[in-house]
Amino acid sequence: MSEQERLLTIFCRGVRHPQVSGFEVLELLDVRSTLARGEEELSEEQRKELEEADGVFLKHAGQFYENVAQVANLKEMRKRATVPPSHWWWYLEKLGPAERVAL
Amino acid sequence: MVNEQVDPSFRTEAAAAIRVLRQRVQWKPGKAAAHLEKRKTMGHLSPESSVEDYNGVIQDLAREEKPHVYLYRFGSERYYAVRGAVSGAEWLAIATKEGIMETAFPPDKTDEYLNKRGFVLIGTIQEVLT
Repeated sequence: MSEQERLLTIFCRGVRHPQVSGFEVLELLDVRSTLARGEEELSEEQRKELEEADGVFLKHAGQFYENVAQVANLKEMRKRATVPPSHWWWYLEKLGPAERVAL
Repeated sequence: MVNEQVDPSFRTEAAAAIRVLRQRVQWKPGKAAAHLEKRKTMGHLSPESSVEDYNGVIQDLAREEKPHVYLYRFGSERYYAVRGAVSGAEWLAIATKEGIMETAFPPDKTDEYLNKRGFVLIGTIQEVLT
């Protein structure tokens, strides 16, 4: 398994769990950024998988944001990680309303 | 290795949180199951693992002497993270200052994760507890 494939698997699986701690959401954002840096290495099929995972991520963006906001200032985290504006997934506060998931 | 810049009272607080973890692992209501499911999905724990198994991993970490303890601050909140090896992978168990579990997982790149978030090294568990 290539490094990009491994990261893609982590991201695809991770987006399905919006109820976890904000500390894990930050990890997910890191993984998505690493994937983005090597996106040209992804096959067409892998790009499609990533697109689908991004869709799931967007669906849960509100919940992800709520969880991060409990443990960190997202703006500060972006600054610390020198996140480029093109990494839209880091801007959770602008990606949609909170989705409430029943426990 | 101890970071001298950490307020001694935080070291005492970290020791108390670790002692709580050593005694029992307590999660916020409903959170244990959610975190366990993710650990299984990610392949961090086997599909048949229970919350007790997950808690066992955390307690095993907390009961060691060598894992490093870190402080993370967010506003008036303080969290303590224990970093150590579990079955060949490096895990991070993060708890509130009261010893309530926030999460426990193996970050992809632990050093990078801790540095980017601003975690501050306090010392090993042994150093923190003595």
